[in-house]
Amino acid sequence: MTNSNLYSFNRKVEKKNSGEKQIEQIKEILMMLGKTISQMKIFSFSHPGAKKFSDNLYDKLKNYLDKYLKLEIGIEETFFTFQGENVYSDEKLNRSLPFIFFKDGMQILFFYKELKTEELLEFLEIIKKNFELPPEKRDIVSDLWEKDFANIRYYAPDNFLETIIRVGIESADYSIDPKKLSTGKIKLSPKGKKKIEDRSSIISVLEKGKEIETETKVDSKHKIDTQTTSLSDKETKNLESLIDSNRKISPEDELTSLFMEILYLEKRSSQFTATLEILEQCLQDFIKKGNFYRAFQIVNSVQELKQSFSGSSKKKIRLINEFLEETRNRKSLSMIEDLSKRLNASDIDDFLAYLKELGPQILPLLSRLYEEGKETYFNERILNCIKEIGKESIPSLMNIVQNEKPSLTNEIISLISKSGHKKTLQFLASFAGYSNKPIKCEAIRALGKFKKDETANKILATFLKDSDEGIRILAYQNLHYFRESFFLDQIITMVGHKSFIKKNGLEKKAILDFLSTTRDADACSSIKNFIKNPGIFQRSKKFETCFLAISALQDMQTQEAIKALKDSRRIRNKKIRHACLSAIEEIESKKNFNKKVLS
Amino acid sequence: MTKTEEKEKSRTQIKKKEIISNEESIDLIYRFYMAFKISKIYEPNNTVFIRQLTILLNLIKKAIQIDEETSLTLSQTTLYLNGKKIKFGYSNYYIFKFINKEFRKRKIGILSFNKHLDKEELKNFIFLLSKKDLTTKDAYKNFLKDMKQQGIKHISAEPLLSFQKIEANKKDAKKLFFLGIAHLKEFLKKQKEERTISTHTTRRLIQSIFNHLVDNESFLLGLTTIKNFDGYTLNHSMNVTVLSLALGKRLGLNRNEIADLGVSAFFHDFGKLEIPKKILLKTGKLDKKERIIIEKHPCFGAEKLIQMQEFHYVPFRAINVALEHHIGENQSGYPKYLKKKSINLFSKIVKIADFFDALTTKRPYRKKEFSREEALRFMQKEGRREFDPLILKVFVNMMGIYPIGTLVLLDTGEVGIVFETNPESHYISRPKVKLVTDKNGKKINGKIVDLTEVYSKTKKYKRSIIKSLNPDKYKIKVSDYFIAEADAS
Repeated sequence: MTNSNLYSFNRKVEKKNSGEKQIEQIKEILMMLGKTISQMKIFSFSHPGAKKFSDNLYDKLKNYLDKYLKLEIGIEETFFTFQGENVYSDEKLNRSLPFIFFKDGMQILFFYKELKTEELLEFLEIIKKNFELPPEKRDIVSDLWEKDFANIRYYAPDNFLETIIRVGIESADYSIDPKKLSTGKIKLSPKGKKKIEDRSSIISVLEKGKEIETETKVDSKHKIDTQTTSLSDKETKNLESLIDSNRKISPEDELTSLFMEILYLEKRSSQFTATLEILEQCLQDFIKKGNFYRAFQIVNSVQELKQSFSGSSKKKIRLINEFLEETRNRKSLSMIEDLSKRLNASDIDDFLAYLKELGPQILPLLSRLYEEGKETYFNERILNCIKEIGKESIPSLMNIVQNEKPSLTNEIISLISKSGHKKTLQFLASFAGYSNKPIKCEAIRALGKFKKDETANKILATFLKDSDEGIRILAYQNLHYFRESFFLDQIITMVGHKSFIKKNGLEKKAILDFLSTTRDADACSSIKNFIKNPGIFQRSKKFETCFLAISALQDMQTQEAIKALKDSRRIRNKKIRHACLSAIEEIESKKNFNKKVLS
Repeated sequence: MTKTEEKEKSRTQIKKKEIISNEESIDLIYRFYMAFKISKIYEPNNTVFIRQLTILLNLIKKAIQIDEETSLTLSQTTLYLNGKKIKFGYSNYYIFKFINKEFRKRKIGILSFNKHLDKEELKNFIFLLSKKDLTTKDAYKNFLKDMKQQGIKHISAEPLLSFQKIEANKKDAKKLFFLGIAHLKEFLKKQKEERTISTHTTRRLIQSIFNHLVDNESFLLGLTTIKNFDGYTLNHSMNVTVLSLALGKRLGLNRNEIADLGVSAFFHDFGKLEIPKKILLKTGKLDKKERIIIEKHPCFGAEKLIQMQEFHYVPFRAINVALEHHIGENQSGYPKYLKKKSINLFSKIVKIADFFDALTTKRPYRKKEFSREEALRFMQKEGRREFDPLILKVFVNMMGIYPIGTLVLLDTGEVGIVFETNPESHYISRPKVKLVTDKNGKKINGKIVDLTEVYSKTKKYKRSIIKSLNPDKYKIKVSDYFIAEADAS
């Protein structure tokens, strides 16, 4: 072998070796691309595992591109090529990386040396998305076109479109015989000819360079006003802001409002129903995604739309009602309940706003959420929501009260009492049968607020027989006197019984205080009976009752009460005497004070 | 500090600096454009030119960052500076158009400026660009050769990708245009049969049309002179799509918006599928009942789009457009909304394109025929309440004083068709015209002449437009010339 032959041989070997090295590098890159995509199908992009793969892929690509400036990959159905050589293959179409590009008509994929990490990540995301979607809902070429990467480009010729569109339809192309264009003659009108002559004569007398100006004069009346077609700086800014504001429009907002307009415009009930069905589908999609703000927006808009039809279209109103009913059916509510368990704090208000739109039927769900809720913040909001819904429908509120749910039930009782509506009394009456003490107490307080209502009082009276002393006390404290002699006689009889003295001090006080509020002579007399020397037996109980009676008479302030107190001044017991005297003084001083105030 | 450490330090410092902003990128391109334009008029040592050159050089130096050079890259329809996409708006769209044209003319894909570039070298480069009009097949090679001869070492050019080198292929554009019509036909047919329809194909089609629009807007606009091919609605929808895309491009919409706009325009008359043909094709005036029916087509269209199985792949704006393309700026027109007060930007764009194409298309119910020029004038005068005034202005500007497809009488006695508008504002009345008759009125399939051409001795224009003519009067079918042009390409 001559020197020159040896040199040439060595060059060939070198070239072959470097070519093989390059191919190996490409194979590694594509292998890594495949692995990275597999990782990303399982993990999110930020996952350390997936990130490690994408970083690795970037490094490999960058290394290659730094040396060779670009990477050009040929795309076949199930394999990638480099300079005609198969460098990666995957024959299982459903997971094949080459096929994901091939199916949409891509033929070559290019990577350039300036490739940025972000570009690569976005590119990977597009691939991932294309793997996730069903084939008829994805087009990787279209996605890449919209991304318009600087350093990742592709070649996908238009004839691919031809293959899709032309399937099953006749050719739509159209051609012209060029000969047809050069056959015949046209004859200008005399006016046209005159114009040419005029023009020639003007030009001949004009100086060079002034032609454009004159040209405008010649044909000005036929021309478009160019002055008014150019935009001023202000107009340009306005135009840019118009485009900007269009970008800020939320598609969901716009879509909801479009739906409402379409429903408003549609006169055919079949079409109206069809559109409502799609709207319902949209609503379900938003709910599934946990986007309760949009769900709220839809239901709220539908309610508004319903109002706009008031009286004019009964059929449309009926269909809307059916739509709204669907939102509250068991299936929908159960889905909402499931979603509520995964709710973020930031979504609570939107979630509740949506539920509010659904009306009283949502109250049982809300009550469950309230009872299960551990966060005060969450519960406060649910409660407000319950209150707002309940304002409009007390019977629905009563459906969610339960002996086992004292906290919520108490809130509901409090809400009911605030309404001051007589209808609520029958609901309050039902609490007398509850075993839960706090609930009963709250019901008694609520009943007590109906001061001028005899029915409320009668209901309260039912609590006086409660086995719980605390309940009875509270009932007496909230009881009002309506000159019902039978009722008063019952209490007087009870007070006159020997067992009365044995009762708890607080209960006795409550009963005697109630009697004092009656200002009744018989009641006074029954109280007076307790003011006497205590004797030996049950001395402390008697003392206690005696002082409670003095206090009751002091509160009574009737002539009979004052007389009873004065009569009791003669009692031997010093403490009782002093208590009576002090009560009389108190009454007198109060009277004097009142006189002064009134004069 | 070792060299590596120094390099690393400088890298970190540079990274900390904000990457060149979009405004700065546009400014750089603008200065490039200015220097190029001035170099066409002035000598190399002229102070106006030198001033622009200095500003340009400073901007290039600022843009040179980590890799010791800055690069300007032309991808299919986008320009990048240092790999960052430059976003053009309406006010600076012409600069993009200029760069795109100049790069493509020379088959340049990337232009890189090295940090050692000086004023003298940049000056030579600009003059080389402006003086040499390269349109040959070896444009790129020749350009490189010239650069070498001029001693330009610190500016390098890389070629366009092989598939991008292909000049805007008019034949393909034409094919795509008719493919669009076929696609819509197929779409409507499937819709009637209640079969599943993929809007991905539509989106791909729109993207391809847009690619052609960037390469050869004039030709695509010329194709919109094709009327009533395979029925009014199909052809009209395609024309409206092309016109809307061209307008959207000028308004600086991004790619996602462009694709949405195209799909919206494509389906804007979808509701006409529901209107009986006897009403659509009625020759006389519509009676009240018929009018009520036809005025329902926007709502029908919007409903159809909503109901399309692939609802999520129909942009919401397409529903806007279908519903709103007959609503005026002052909420006149139809349908009458219940609550909605605003009209979507895309509806405003499509409304203009729709109106223009409808007006310039022969319709059985209309006696008056509008030429393209007349239609624009009519819209300008009468359309204040109908159209968004700013978008209308952009549209009129885009179409030009003599819109593409206008039949014109030249001062030579020749008759021609406007094939390409002139983007230079002072040459606005001097478009490129395809000659269709000689000075004696004999029909010819003539060449395309540039009306800015002057006689070298007298410096007088070779040809000027005298007036526009009504093609029907002279039995000239304008669209045939565009189709023939495509067939011949």
